[in-house]
Amino acid sequence: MKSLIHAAFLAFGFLLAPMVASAGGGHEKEKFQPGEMIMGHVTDEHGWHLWGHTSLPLPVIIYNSQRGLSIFSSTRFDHGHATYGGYLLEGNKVLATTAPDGTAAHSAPIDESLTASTIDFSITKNVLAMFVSMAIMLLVFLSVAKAYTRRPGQAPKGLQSFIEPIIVFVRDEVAKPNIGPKYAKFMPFLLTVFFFILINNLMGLIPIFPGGANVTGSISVAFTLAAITFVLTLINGNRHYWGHIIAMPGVPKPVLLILTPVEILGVFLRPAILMIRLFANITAGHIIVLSFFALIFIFGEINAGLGYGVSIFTLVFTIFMSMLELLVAFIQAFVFTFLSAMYFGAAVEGHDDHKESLV
Amino acid sequence: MTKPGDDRPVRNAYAAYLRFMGLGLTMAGIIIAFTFLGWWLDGLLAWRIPVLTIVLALLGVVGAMFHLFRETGRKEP
Repeated sequence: MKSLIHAAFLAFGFLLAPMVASAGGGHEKEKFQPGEMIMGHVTDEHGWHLWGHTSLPLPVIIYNSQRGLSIFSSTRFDHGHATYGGYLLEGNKVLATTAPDGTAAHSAPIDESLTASTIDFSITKNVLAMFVSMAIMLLVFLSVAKAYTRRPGQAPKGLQSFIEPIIVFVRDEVAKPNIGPKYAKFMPFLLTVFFFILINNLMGLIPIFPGGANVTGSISVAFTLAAITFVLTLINGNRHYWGHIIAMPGVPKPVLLILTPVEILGVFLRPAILMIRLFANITAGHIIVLSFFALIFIFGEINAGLGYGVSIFTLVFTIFMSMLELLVAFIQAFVFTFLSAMYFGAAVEGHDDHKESLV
Repeated sequence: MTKPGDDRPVRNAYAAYLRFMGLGLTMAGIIIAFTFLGWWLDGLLAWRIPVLTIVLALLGVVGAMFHLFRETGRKEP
């Protein structure tokens, strides 16, 4: 998947390359790389770039089965230019090297076997952004929960009256219609995943710190969320659910030869699609907005006046796209929760809840 | 909106359509998985004609259609 995106970006870069090259016009100036700029903003990083040459240093935590645990600041890597403690950064990946500290990263030899036994537990930009969103969620929900115990039976007030309709919406529109009478035990997960995705999507739209991290557009985060849905579906699957996957009742035996592999595949494909949908939608939104910004600099390199002219159009399009992304932030949180609830519903539904009608 | 304690499912119009959102990708996934399996088995067998790739790709299409029928024929819970 990641290599696919890289390929797409290479293609994008090649399209833009002639424009940028002609913009340079023989000057030995540092050229603007739209592909690099966009990828840098969309992917995770060690340290959080704030503005200009200022970035927030974050702890790098590396475990290597031969060297043990090493913890140091991400500034030691000097944006990937220097090696430290036998490690260097290539892109966002920590590689092991045998070169001494301070060696230029591009000339340091990479130790393949040491790299293979290295696990990166760093508090990266996405991890910090998740901590921030967790803090927001705890603040909001603890205060809302306290409001319910303080004033039981009374009309909601303040933050409580903002959150309550959303919780009721998830319960009445997502959990009940999809899961049925056993909805209550899935509510904690559905609400958590809904608000986690929603808050991270909205934070991702804020261009300045502590926003701007592409958390839900990270395939690892989307994978983890989908994996929890997958495991919960498997754990809660009743005999009726598994019976329909392994041998659909009322289906002739030869058809089962095709249908059973298809159904087993479906069990894995559903969470995979859940993951890809969230990851692709959020990342695509970020890429579009960043591409509009890249246009300013591409045209600006040709001519400063042209850059200013283009920036007006860019601004209009960016505002339009941001509005659309605001909608997508809600839709994707809703869709993930809705489809998770649907899979739980299929896993727990009883014998007489529905009748099969195949072909 | 329902009162607390009322466990009857709520019906809404769009839920019926949302159920089929992943269907297209799942169908594609089934065909790709079957084709890939055939391609892998053909690599092991090394026959002159990639029979298994062709047969399993077609079976994948049939399987995807079965999946479509099953998902759309299912009564709403």
